[in-house]
Amino acid sequence: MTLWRLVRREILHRKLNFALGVLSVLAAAGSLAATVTLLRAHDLRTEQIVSAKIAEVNREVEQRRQIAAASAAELEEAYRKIMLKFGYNLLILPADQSVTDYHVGGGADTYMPEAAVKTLSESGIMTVQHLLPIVQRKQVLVAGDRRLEVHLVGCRGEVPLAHRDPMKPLLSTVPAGGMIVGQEVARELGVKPGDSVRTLEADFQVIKVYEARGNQDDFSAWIELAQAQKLLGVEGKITGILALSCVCTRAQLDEIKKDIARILPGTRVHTMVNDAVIRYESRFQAAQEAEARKTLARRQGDRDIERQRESRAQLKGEIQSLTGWIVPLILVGSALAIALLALSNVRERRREIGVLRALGLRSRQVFAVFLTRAVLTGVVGACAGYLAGFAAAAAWARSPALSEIFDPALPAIALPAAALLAALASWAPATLAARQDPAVVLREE
Amino acid sequence: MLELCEVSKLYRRPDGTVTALRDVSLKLGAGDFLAVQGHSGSGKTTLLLSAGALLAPDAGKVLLAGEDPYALSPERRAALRGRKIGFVFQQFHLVSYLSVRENVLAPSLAVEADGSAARADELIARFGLSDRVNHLPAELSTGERQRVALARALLNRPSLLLADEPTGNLDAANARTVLDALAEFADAGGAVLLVTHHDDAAAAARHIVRLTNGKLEGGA
Repeated sequence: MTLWRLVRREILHRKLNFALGVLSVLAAAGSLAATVTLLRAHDLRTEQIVSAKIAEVNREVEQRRQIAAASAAELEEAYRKIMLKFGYNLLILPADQSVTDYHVGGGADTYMPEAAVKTLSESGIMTVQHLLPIVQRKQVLVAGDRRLEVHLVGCRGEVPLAHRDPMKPLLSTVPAGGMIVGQEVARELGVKPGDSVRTLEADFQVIKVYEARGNQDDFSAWIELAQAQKLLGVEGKITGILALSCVCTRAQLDEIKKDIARILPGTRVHTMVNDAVIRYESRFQAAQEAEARKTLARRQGDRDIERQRESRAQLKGEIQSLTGWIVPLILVGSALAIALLALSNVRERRREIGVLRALGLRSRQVFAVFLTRAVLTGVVGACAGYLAGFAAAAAWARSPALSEIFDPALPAIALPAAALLAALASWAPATLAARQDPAVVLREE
Repeated sequence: MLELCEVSKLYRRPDGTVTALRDVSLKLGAGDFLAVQGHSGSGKTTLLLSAGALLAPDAGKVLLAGEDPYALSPERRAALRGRKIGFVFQQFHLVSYLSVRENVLAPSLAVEADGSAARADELIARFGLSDRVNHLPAELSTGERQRVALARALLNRPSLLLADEPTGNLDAANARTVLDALAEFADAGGAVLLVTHHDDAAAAARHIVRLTNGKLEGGA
């Protein structure tokens, strides 16, 4: 016979009392386990939400980065093409030629020698890709009974730069006797390729009509340079040189202008800001805007994540403050219930204690019997409570990954804590049992 | 074995003091079987409890195997009780959730001794309870319960047996069995102190004394 056997037999005999004790511990351990598990599940959910948000923000930022990169790439490509086609147009005029007169007046009244273009082409200037000598003046074109004042431009194909391989001419070469006209010229005069046009007492055949460009070109007509010089009586002279550069930035223009002024003294170089520049500017702006939006998306995303974190933290705080008083209340209630049940058990076993003491059991042995019973109540209640609390919290949190919300430290702490709680709650009743005077009980017969 | 020297015991109550024992002296040696007779309230149970190291007297001395149990610490006194004394009560006081065998073995919780299980089986057989070994007290007759109580009292081979109205709830046949067992114990060298108000039970003892209002008459 052992005390342990005595405890076991008594528990089996008084199942209801033991079950109620277990239920009390179960409530305490269960509420504690459920709270801790819920908070853990909440933390995990927060992590999931924040991670998802971070991923979403990263995706959005990446999309915007790709858009920005695509814009930049598109810009670069467009810029390259545009500059190849148009470049930054530099107009080289005699130093005393008014630019306003040149543009508004439709031509120049001062000239420079055509040899200047050869000088420039042989100068070795690296940044200028194309050189186009021109003679330009306002003239009236006649087609049938229609007349129209246009910018008559005498031009020849590109002057190859001596220091590099010949390139495809930037502008179409106009053969002698031929004429290329702008869109508005063709419309006003009602001419099309193959029709005849007269000016400077000479007949020209329209060989090409340019598409509308929305600028002065629409009111221009191009003929062969030498023929233009002859008809205008300015052989060997030109009104200006169009220097078309590419693969350069606006910042480089000043350098180019200085180079040209050095090579061709007595001339002035004017920048002709054209559509290409505007498009470049706008696309540069677009790229900057895309970059700004990317940054904005990142900041907005970061703010959203922070807000999400704050909101979840606030929710957690509310849960903690709620459980902060509910759980202790349940613990106190459970301890009280355990104490009352233990007291009831002691009273119920009063005579048994008296007899056992008469048989020679020491008071500490009696104390041990009741304390062992209490610890057993605590352990069984804690196991059942932990399982119930964990299951309830897992179901409540709808967490599919039980392994993630399972905290091995919790049962490791809850079990001894519950045993301790039950032992402490039963301490006084066990002491009462141990101090019971057997003579008082036996005399009551 | 047991000696009480001018033992007095008072119970103080709100309505006054009751003298349960008044200068009681008696002496029991090996083989003695003493019956103390008296009416209800005469102090029989108080005498038994004082002799059993359960109730300290207010005056006088109790010697158990030459040792004053009340001079010992409660723990040592309990140990002494477990080793030297066997109790038999009128109400049997079996532990309700323990089987017959477990009840008989209950004193082994107090005194660790080799062969307790064998001794229990021997006593169970001796009192004709072999077919009731695993029964609970509630499943036994009153006579069987008292035999279980007797077996329990004898488990640790005590030198003193204290019996408080052991036949009070028994029929004649069962009472005889119990009294025979007590006599047998005394014959074997033990000392028996039986308190009863039944003349038949007292007659089984070798000596009889009467307790009246806490005062022993007749000497032992």
